[in-house]
Amino acid sequence: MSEGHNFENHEISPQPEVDFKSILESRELESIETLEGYFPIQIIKLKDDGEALFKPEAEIPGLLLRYNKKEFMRTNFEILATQIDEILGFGLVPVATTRAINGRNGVIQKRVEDATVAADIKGDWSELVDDSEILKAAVFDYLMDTRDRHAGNFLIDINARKIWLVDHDYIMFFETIIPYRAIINAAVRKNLVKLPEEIKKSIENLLNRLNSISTDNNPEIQIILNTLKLKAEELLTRGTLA
Amino acid sequence: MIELYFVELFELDRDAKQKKIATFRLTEESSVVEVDGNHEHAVIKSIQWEGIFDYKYARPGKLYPYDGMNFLENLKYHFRSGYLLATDVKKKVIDN
Repeated sequence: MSEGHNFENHEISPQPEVDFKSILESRELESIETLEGYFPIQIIKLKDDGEALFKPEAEIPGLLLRYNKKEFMRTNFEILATQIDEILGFGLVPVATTRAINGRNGVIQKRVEDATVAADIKGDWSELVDDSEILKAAVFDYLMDTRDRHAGNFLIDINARKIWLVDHDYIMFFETIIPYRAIINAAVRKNLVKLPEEIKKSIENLLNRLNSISTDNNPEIQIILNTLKLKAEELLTRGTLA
Repeated sequence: MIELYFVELFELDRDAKQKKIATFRLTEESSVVEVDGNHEHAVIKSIQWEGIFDYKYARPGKLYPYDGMNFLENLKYHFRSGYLLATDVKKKVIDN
């Protein structure tokens, strides 16, 4: 063993925080592959930095009229979800930003590695993540009034016992008569409804910063934010999710 | 000649490659969607047991394979994240 090595002392020097948003915005693209499926999604390989999913703003042939008009707003919705998550400090939504790829504008979002779609998990996914993750994700879904959170729209990192929320498009915020609320239902079932101080502070912070979020004069974004404000105030007054 | 309608469902694996996990098939002769694929796969199991919502017509209640074309037509709206992605309904004519 060479001198100077101290295997007893495992002090790790702090790693610089990786700015994934900048990477997504400007990193050279190694490859672009269009996925097989109805909704146009591309898997982008970023030079030296993993993969991302790119969802272009585009008309989709044959898509229901009420969706097609809104498909162009997918970028706004996805970015809004990441902004809200960032302000709350929950770390549930993969980093995303806007980018033009091959002349098409859209949203590019870091691909979550080492995670499995919840629908792909045999048994009860809620036993494989920390309770704090379920509560945070349930609060996020409650505040954002998400309506399509079925098990195909979130991922589970079993090793990290963590949840990742994906697919924040028009359908997620405005569709389905009887909403899918898989995570809120799990939180209620497990009696994870009382909000700890830390989450209350996150919600207060969100309320204080709500005016800083740009709506781009988009009425749908305004609706989401108006609802969010009411729900946030309600949560703080009640102190519980149920 | 039999007309076959089908939807393919793909998942993104750990290497960011798409892998087909199921083909949902409906023929003129049957009103029930059949599933080709590993029936033990959690996604396939759950969709058959739990059903999906009717995104197309926004009608209350859930759709199951026995709902035939209505079920088939809604798969693409249910699976649209990229991690799981369904195709549109495709048509194939088979000689019998």
